[in-house]
Amino acid sequence: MTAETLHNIKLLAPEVCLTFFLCFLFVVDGLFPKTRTNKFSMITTVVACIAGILLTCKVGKTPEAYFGGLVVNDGFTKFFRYFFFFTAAVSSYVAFGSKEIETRSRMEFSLLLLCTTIGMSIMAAASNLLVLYMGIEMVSIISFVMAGFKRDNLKSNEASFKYLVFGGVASGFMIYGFSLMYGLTGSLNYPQMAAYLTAAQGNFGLVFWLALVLIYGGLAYKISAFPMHFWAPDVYEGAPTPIATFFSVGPKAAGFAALLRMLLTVFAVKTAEGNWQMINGISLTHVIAVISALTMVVGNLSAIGQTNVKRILAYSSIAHVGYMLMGLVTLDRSGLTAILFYLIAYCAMNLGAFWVVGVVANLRGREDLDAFRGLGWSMPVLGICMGIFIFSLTGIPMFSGFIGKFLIFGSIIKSGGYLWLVLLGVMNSVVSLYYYIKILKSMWLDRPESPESLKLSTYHAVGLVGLAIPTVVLGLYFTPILEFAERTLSNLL
Amino acid sequence: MREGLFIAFSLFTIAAASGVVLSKNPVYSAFSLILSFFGLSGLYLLWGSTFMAMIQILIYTGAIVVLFVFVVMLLNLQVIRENSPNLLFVGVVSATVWFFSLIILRVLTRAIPTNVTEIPTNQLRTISKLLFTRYLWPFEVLSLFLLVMIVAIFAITRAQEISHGGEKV
Amino acid sequence: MEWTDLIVIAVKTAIIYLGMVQVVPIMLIVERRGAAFIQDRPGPNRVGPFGLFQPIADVIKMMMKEVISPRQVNKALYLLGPFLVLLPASLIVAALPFGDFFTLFDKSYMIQIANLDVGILYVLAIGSLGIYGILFGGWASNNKFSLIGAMRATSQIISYEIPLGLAACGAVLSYGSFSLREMVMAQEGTLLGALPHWGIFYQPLGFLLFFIAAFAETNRLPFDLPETEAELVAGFHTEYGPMDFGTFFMAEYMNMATMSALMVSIYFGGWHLPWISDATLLEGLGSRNLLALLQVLTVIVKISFFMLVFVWVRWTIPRFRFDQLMRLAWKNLIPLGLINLVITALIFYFKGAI
Repeated sequence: MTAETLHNIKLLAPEVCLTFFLCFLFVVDGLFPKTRTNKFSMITTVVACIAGILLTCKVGKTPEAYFGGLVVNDGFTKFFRYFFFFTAAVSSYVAFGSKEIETRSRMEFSLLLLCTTIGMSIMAAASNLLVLYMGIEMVSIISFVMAGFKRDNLKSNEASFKYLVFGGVASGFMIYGFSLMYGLTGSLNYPQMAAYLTAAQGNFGLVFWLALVLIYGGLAYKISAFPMHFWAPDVYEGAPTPIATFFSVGPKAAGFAALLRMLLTVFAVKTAEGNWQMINGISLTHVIAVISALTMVVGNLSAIGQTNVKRILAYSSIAHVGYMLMGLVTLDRSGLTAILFYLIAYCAMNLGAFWVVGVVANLRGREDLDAFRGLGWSMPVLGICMGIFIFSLTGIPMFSGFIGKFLIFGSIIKSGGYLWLVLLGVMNSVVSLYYYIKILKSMWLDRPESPESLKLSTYHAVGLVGLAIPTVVLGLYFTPILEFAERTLSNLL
Repeated sequence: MREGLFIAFSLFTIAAASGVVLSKNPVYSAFSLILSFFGLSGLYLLWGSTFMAMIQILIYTGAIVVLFVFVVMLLNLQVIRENSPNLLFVGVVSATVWFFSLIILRVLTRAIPTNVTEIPTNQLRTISKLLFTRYLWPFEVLSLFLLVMIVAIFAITRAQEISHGGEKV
Repeated sequence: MEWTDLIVIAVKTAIIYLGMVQVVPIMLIVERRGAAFIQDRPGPNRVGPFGLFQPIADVIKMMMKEVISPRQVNKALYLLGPFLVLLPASLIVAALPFGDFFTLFDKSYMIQIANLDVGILYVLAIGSLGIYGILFGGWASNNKFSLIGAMRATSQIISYEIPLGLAACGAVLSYGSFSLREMVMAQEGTLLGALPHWGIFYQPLGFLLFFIAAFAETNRLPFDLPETEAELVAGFHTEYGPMDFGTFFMAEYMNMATMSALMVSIYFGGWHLPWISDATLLEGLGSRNLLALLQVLTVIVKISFFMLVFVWVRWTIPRFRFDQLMRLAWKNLIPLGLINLVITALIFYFKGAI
């Protein structure tokens, strides 16, 4: 093994660490059958994620492209590695407390989750269309299987099948776009593609726009933006709730990472002030603004009539993607930093909201609004945490969601244009209040169907409070995270 | 002569691919898929890449389509009996629109950049060298992925547990 | 490419292919006499001296029997089945080397239909197409027994393709090339002075795997569960008439012959005589064409030896049960194949290819 390969593998230490834990789980599963059904695999997953986080701190300080330009290790990768490992650890914790994942499938769930995490890290670090496609397919295909994890449940099968068909078509579009882009620019690596596009001076063939549209189709499917958002409600509703928890945060953020990296490295150049500017000849600002607006509106308006809480949260996650896309309209530092901050805030509050839905589903067996009746009074911790998450999702001041929205709207206002977009965003937040409040109303203002005394297990309580606290704290004292996001951006290769 | 062969293979592939979509019997669709892969393999041969042609037949026709055919036969899918003329119409119209938009967008007639590398004479050596040096990372990750996929398939297709207090599977 | 070249090549192709097809009638009689010999009975001895004209009688019987065309079959695939089985069996013959080269009109032609540089990959690829005839034939018969037979045959073939491929990988690693011709040419002369320089001494484990997998690929005992007479009526060719049965039969024997030819080429020196190199033979014989004839004869003798081994094993060993068969492939042969690959890779990393 040459020294260069060794150096490359050292830079990959977090993923290699996860792979080792994956193989360790395989071996343990074969040797000790009891670990298949007890909490061992969850503990291993959490340990693996913590080890990954620690390794990410130590790995490679300088941004560099390694493995021949296939993968990049910079601040961006670091940020998303922390994100994905945290999400995976929390999802694993959630899943093992839920009845929807059968005990005998626990080991497989952990294995699939670890592999998805590796795939998501690859998506965030990819600097080559081939590696990006590989990462996307790793995450997608395992997600198809995870969505259908409840084998006897028809809704789960339907969710998996819809995800599969939709994902397959979107991947087809995307790889067609990749092949056109490869034919156009002559290279799969991002820097070479950018060099070709800059040299072309706006003189691309019409092929380029076709390729762009197709690639957007694939990436939009991953982040569930308009017009490829149709799978999200059905899949989130049918999939087991812990898995829907994971879906709403993990693959979505991975898609965002891929989208951001591709946009910023291939189609834009860094200007002197640290902002980005689209390459001469590509002006996508209007398009991004319109897409963002449409995603927001579609997400929010569709959520109004829903009675199934998981569908409400699914549509709300679509709407949040719309808000996040607003940050891409003006590719300046403040907008992009806002997106990264919003992702962090979104992670905590969405994980928490889905977790609460999972607890209620375990308790009551259903996930519609009526299942929540009176739970605020029976289980106060649950009610308060859900209140925190909902308020944060809506964007009420003093919670992290508000700060996120504030930063994004602020960046657009600062740039001077697209005030209509900001206005639309604010109006959408107001509209979203309606359907979010329906959940809280059901929890706190409705009488429970049968008076019962319920207790929230410590297992869940610890986690929920653990997620609620950052949601509140980030709403008040967000400067360190903001600075972290800024540092990430300045470190982008 | 090469252009003639190219046109012949391409038309054959397209005809077979349409056979996949248009035939009412799923087994006929699978058979047309085999034919279309043969056409693709012929196109690879025309380009000089004998390795890729053989790998295409070995893997696609020899393994993947077998899987398809297995599933189709075991599921005993019925022949699609309904006559849905409007779906066919939509399909044909959208295919035509797509084709013409490709021509308009000059995808099909655009000159491909000529910095295409020559196909080396010893393809096996070149490909394996690339696979183990430049593309080592995707190669290894894909093998891990395949392993986890086996686990995933096992997770969804495992037999149901017998619930009379027997040994847990 | 002059027209004389084309004619010679066409004639050569026809001779090689038809020569391989001759295996079928020869095996018809050899199998039955060999079975009889092992079972200590006379065997067919009515139709000619020692029963040698028995194949003619068999073929006449097949052609004259009443062809029942079942009504419930899927006509298109039913008719396609036998053809699809025969096609791969015939196509593999193209890559097999039968001799070095012969000279005619001052030009030398290889005694091989096509010297592909991806020879063994081609063989594996076309071999994997042999599944489709069985699959479509069995399914089109619209008969549960046929379908079960077809499924069993298919899963058996695809399971054993992997050890076959792994053994072939080991061979490719040792010889450094995919081309069968180059593999044979590397097996000339002696090894360590005492042994012939044959592939089997370099790849003993590989040969064992290939040998076992070859039995499974051709649906021969001990792996012939898909066509057991006692269990599934006649397996996947239950619903077929006599001539189609003849075609399936022909395809099976041709598969046997091609597998034998492959084993001969990769592991047993191909057209080389055991210790003698080609140069000494050329000096001894004088003419290139005589040498070519000797080489072809050598190949034929070696292939016949393997065909006899096939017949011998068939009538000696009981058959495997289906799950035993699968377990053998996946749990025993594939790990052995991988170990073989690793050991071969290590040895040849340190010593260089043959």
